[in-house]
Amino acid sequence: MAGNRVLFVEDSPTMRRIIMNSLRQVGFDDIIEAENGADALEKLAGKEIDLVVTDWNMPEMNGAELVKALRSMPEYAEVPIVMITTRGMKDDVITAMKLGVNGYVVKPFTPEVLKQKLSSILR
Amino acid sequence: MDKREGSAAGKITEIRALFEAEGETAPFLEELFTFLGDLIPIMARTTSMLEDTASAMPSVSDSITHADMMAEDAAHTIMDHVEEISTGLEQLAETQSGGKMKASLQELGEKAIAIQAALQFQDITSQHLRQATQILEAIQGRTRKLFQSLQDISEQNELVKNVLKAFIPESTEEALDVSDTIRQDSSISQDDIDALFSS
Repeated sequence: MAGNRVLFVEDSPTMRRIIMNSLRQVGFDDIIEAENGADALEKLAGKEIDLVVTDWNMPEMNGAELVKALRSMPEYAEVPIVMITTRGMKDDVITAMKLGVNGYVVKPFTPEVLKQKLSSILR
Repeated sequence: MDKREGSAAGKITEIRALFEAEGETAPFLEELFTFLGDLIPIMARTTSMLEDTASAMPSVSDSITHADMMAEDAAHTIMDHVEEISTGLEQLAETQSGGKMKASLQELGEKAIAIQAALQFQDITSQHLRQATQILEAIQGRTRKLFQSLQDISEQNELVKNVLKAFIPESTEEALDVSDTIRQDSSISQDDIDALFSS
């Protein structure tokens, strides 16, 4: 694994706990936790990160808007981004890809699927 | 025949009397009054059903929200216990140098993780419930808007006013928008997503 600091953005408290545990099992013990895109950008404040894991549907600033914002910042333009969302339409996946998302997981997922996705992206 | 239906039928009879000349009404007017007479019971029933539905909607929305909150609390209670079990199993596994016991403990730990992952249903259900509530609220708002439109029409036309007056309850609330819908009618599989990213 390249590094172990991850920005994790999710508005649902239940999903936050589930994904946080999965991230820890994969080896991420330095997690910047945020409830939506705006909160994420505020907490990020120029810090170095190795991975972004984000939901799509969130209040204030959604995941797609966050990805767009991150990709426009030189320091985060190349950081791998994984989107974990209930939006399971092909159009959604293509939109995410065009925005610069590197991996896409549809909820509900199994812990194995998330681990595989994270491992393959960080390889 | 309910009160409103009777009232509207009475109005039609009054209007009909106005058009009568020497005990006779023009044929097309006769047809119009017959049509309105047939229409009234249907309108009365429709209005009554719409009113009942609209008045039940706020309590349905509240019940859905309450059930959603209870489900979230329950999910977190389960997670608390599962996390404790996971930690206990990990600690037990660490005390074993190897062998069948350690493997069994690790296997149980993985099952505990799977239970936690299965609790994703709470968030997914919650999103669908929120969407259903938004739709209910939008229908409620639009139903009230429909009543308001009928009222506006009746104010501009004396004949329509007399016929519709009995049916229309007062309301001014605006409809709510339904946004951020979850579309899962033709969801893509994880394998297809992976294929898109690797292409």
